[in-house]
Amino acid sequence: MIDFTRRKVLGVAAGTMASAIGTADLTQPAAADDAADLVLFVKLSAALTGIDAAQLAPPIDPIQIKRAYFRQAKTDPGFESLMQIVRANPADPVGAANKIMNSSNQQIKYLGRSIILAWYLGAWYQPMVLAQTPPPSPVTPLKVISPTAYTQAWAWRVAQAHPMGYSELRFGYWSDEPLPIEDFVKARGA
Amino acid sequence: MRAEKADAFDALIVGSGISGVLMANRLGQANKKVLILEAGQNLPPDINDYMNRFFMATVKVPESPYPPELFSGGKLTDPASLNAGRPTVLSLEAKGRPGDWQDPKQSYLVQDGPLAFGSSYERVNGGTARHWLGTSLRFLPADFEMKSRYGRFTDWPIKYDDLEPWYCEAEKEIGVAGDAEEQNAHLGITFSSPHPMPRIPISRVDMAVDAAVSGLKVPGIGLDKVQWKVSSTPAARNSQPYQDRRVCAGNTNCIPICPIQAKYDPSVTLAEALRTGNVQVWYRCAAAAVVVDGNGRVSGIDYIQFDGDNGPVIRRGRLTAKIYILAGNAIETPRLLLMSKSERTPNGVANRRDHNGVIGKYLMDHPLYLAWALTPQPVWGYRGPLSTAGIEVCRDGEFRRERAAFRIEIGNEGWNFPIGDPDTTTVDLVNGLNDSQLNKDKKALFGPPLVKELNDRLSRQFRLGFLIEQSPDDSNSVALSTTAKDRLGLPRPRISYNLSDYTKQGLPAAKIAATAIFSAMNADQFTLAPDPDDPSSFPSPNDPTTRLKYFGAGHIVGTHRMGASATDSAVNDMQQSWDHENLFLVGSGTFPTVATANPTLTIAALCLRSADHIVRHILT
Amino acid sequence: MRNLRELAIVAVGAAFVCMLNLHAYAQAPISDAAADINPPVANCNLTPDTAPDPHDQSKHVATPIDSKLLTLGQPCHQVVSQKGLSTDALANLQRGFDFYSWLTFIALNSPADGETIGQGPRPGGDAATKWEALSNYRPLAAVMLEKGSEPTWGTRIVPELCKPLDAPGKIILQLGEAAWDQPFKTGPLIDQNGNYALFDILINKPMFDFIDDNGLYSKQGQERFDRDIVFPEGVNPAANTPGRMGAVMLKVSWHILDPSSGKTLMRQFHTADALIYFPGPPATKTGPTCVAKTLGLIGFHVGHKTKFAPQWVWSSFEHVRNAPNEKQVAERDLHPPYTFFNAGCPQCPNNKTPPSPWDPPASLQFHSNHKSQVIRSIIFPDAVAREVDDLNKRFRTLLKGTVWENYMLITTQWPSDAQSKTDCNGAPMPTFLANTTLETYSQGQVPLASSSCMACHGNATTRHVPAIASDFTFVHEKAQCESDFCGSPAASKSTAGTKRCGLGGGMPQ
Repeated sequence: MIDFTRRKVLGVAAGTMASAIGTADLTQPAAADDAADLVLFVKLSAALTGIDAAQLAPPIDPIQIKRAYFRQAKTDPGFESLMQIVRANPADPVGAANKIMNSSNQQIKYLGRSIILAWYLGAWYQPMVLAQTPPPSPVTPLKVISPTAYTQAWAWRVAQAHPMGYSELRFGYWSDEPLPIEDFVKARGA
Repeated sequence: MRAEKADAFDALIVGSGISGVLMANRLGQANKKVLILEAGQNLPPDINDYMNRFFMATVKVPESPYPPELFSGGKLTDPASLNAGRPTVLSLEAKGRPGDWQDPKQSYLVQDGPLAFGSSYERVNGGTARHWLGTSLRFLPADFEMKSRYGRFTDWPIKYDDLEPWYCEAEKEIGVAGDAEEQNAHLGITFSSPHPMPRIPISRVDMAVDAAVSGLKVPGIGLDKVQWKVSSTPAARNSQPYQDRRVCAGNTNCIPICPIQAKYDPSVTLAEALRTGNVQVWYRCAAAAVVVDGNGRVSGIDYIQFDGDNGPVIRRGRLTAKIYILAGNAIETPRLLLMSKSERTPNGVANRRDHNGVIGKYLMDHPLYLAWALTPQPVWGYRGPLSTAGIEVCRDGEFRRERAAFRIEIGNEGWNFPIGDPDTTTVDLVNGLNDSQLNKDKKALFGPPLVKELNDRLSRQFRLGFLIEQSPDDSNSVALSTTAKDRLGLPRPRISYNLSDYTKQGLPAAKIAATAIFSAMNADQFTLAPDPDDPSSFPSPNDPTTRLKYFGAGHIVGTHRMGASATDSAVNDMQQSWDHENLFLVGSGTFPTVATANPTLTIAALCLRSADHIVRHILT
Repeated sequence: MRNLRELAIVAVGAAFVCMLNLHAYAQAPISDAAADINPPVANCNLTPDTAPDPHDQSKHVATPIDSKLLTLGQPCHQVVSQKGLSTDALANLQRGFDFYSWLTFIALNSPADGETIGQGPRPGGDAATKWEALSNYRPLAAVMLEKGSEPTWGTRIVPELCKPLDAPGKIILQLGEAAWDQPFKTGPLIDQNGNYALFDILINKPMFDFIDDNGLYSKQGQERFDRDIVFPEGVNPAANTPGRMGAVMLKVSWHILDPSSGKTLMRQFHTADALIYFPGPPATKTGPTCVAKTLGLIGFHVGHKTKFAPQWVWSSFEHVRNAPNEKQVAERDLHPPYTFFNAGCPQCPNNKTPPSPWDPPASLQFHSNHKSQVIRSIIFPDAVAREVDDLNKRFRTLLKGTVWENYMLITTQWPSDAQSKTDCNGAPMPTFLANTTLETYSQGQVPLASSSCMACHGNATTRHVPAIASDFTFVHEKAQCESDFCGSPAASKSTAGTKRCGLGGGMPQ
């Protein structure tokens, strides 16, 4: 049996090292050329994750986690090529997502997967690690992107729950059914 | 060694875990002067740092929020480099693999085996109960009478009725939410006063299990007469505002840390003890030896004060007090006693001068059998406290003559414990893997299909944990390593550990019960067999071709046990050493048996009882 | 002209309602009884922080921050807009809230006798404020009475031991633990003179009436109350409906002004002559006793329940001399003297809780020579900090020459997604907020652990089984028991009306 809880971290450098509190100001506006890319990145992320853009990055957004993931993805060598596909299809992010996720270019394809996992788990799984054959078992992330990223992670919300350690609900909620999945992943009024 | 001013303190307590702080608080409230020595980090004004460390941990083991750092330079921190190290569940891996359980450069405990001792603890303000689940069950009357009733092990020197009023005290002191009537109905235990708070509501997972086990029959394991039923678990978790702490908001994070302190942890009592003005704590001070004088009384404790996790020694000294209370958990307390060898104490302190002392012996845990399944309809795990209910009806019966009993803890956290979900299944579905066993076709998904499949899997996950009563065996022991030391030069604990046949028989019984429960729920079981080299596994006694795996429950028990006489125990029922009148050894180390209930409430009850005795009769 | 302006602002307000596409928040329609609890008020301040440029409707211009603002009263709800001085909707909304906070601060701290703020008879134009008048606000200790007795609005309760010290104009500050120990027992705050800082909580009449009418002033009353706790909302007047103030709660912090501090210092603070009552155990270790002290206001939290902020709007102000922020300390940009910081020791450990024991003696002097060394952590985005600094400069200039020029807004926390189904806290913006005098020891940016008005208050409940969310206030926890025995509350027989947010269909257990 794979001992997940333990092996998961042991291949990783600085796995549980405390990170400095007070990370970069996420709500700073992006540089001018980044601003347009950021909009496309969010649209792409919606197509990749299956979660509406208005949920990933609401129009009024105190947290702006999209910036953290954008910045993280930008550090990857495949990022520019991936963005080119999106820029070429600005009105069709689903099409761009398809191209990316089925790309014969491993850099692009696995970066797409890393981006999904960033949104879903708040952690950065390096594309080259995801691409390994045979894959490591289990796969480990390079790092948790930030405490905020962990609390905004979508896997838990797709479970109709919340990240362990971060509840926005009230006493006794667990005796009742959660809201339907649509309330978590679809834009309100959609 | 210049002793600090004699009689400056009424009590010197080693350890600021739950035992130490409960004792300190009671003594402080009674105007006694108390000094606590704590090897770990000081009480912080808030939990920002702990929560930050937790959020950033890539694997959220129970130790993950607390210092000292688990990792240095990409590897497990070498315990020899730490002034006050502690074990971690990350160093329970097979030989030769990262986290090798027998590599002293990775494992704080030197494990001789043959099986791995699976529990970890903290050395930090508030102690290990910083990361406990909160489960506050009382022992059953039968638990105190294993010898009389079932011809097994030993009786406790006290009975349930002796401890009952102290259980009430403990439930008030730490704030337990529970339903005494429900406990009574299913376990036949009596409560002379109800819990201070009403029970925590049960979860959807609990309801699904309860619906299925109604009318269940599980033959073959001595539980034929049992009426299977789910009962809510009494817990030190606020269902009302209590002690100026908020009610539970279902953060599902009790282990390792409640972000809003709705779960009691000993820092609450530590703060209260400090408020009396009669209690001091010296942090980063490790007790190095207990000193005994010619009259057989403890005359001091030598300590080493140091700077930070791996900084230099600042000073050494000896402290004196009227009485001494060792509250360092059932591994660190025997370690200290065994380190205290001298002419007067050739086998260590409190360990008799002949070779019949029991210090370090009868080490016990609850080997935990984990089983997990996928329900046909969503039960929506990952919500609510980590556990809100369990099955308690299987904890007692004639079968205890033959095999270890267990209680069943129902988990609300999906498959987080068994496979580290939701991460594992999410990565599976995105990257086309099947580590979770939930992606047989190794599909790699994105977009709406990913949402649909992931939601389907996660919402139907749940797990059961069976806490199995380990027998007290004198071969399971804590000794001192002759080679491995900590940064202070003190020998680290050396563990010999095995499961007796009696204990081992608890696991196949648990497996049968798990399978029956899952079957009654129409749930598909996914429990995996362990790897052959897993040091926490063994061939099933009933079928050597099957291997069974156990986890440590974090319940370290038995190594300075109480008894009716000095012949085969270290302390009396007030946790007072037979050998040294002014020495108390408190905590779960005094338990002669571990039974099936989580130990913390019983620890608290015993400590409050001892503290009362000390105030009335000893420190008058 | 005022009427036209009012109309324009109402129109903006209505447009804003449309922009947010709000549907009615699930709440009982205002009945006669509710109307009594939340009566119409005549003078809601409708001033927005910006208005469309008359020459170019696509642009917005800042409302001038001039003396007109000093007499327009208190906003009954926040008038904010996604349109404003910036292209960033979030920034515009934030400025709107911060402007609203200043108007609120000015209105509440205006003299109780109706005079204009800063034109009172005391040094620095100081005067007893509106919120210190028992006709407007009531301290919590005078609401949650012994034996859970019903409180009476407006009455002045003078404890026996305070009577010899009493005189007109004195305020009674009754101590419990919350009056000197920060939330969740994180510790007392000790100023550079070694005195304890003191805290008080006050509620306005609509909030009081909700508690009173529903019997929530006793533990048993809370156990019996089976419906949702929904405090009345503030709303500005619209075409056919009057304005109503809604529930407002205050948390204020004081420091003890040493008589030797002299007139200069008195001029810098709003002051109150207080009788500080120690009830004795169990409420206070010391006492019963009563001491007279002159207090200076150092911190001011306002929570206002409004129609478009069911999670309330949270404003926090501090005295400018409390403490430097971490940037100022790093850059040695210090302006002593500070009340809670020794500029002579900038590297001294900061934000550390005092050594135990903590319970204050009657002298209110800390037992050791520990003095709190406080630094304000920077916990919200720079863009917000710059906008708040700008507003502070302008409002403080407006109040120049009065004690009130010495107060500054920290910022305002508000629900950016008040209608969220999945987030019961309504996505607070900014995520974190702390007042160095009131949340000294929990400043930071760690989710849930660090201070956030809404994340913390969202967990408040009443004493009911099962625990009912108490609409973002902890005041209910201070209710006392009607009888001598007050064990574990009995389970409610009915769960009717106990709506809980974030939940789907299916009956509760």
